[in-house]
Amino acid sequence: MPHFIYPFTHVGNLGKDSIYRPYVPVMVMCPNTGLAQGFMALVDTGADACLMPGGVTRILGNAINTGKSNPNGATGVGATKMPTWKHELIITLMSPDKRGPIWIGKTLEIDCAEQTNLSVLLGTIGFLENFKATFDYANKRLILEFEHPKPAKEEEKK
Amino acid sequence: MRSFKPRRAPHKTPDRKAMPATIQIKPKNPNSRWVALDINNKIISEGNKPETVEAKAKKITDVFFLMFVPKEGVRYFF
Repeated sequence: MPHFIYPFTHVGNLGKDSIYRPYVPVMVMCPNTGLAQGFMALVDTGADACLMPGGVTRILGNAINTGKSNPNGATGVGATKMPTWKHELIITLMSPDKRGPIWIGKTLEIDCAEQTNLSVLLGTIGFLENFKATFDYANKRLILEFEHPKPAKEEEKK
Repeated sequence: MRSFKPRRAPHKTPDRKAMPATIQIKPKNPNSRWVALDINNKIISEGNKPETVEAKAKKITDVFFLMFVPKEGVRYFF
């Protein structure tokens, strides 16, 4: 099983209260427009699904309102309901050195929020369900392991 | 004639060799909420909206990664 080690990211000045967060480089692609953009996305084990800030859809050539409106919206800490729209997107995980893709996801309807003050969140559905993730907070690194899908011919033989 | 036995190079995992222990991002303006990073994790542009940061970064390079910068001192609960 191939494994990839992603160092944690620290933002701002180093100090006693410094927080290291598990960010990974991803390429988000819109199959309808053919546009793609790289993002540093936060791996969030507490999130049920992936969430994109409003700016992502605009960069990928779609207005936020063009997606399917999610009547249930999204809820976080504080139980405040946030309206979201579902857009068809493909998430590709890049290698730790950001030089090439190592895992390409399926086309999924991913919730996109209107507000831009939000990180790209990688949750269970659409991302974490495909990996064995080890959060090594002591050594400040995230280890992602995954199995390559077997070719169709081998499955037919079995 | 004395035989020469080449020594094997020590094995190194490519991930560990290439990657730093941690990545540090420090925008010039502490109020910037979005930054664009190149493949070496250097900030190439920063601003408050992802679209403006992307437009600035596009002029410098084709391959870059946008990142939301959490405000320093604020506890985030995602």
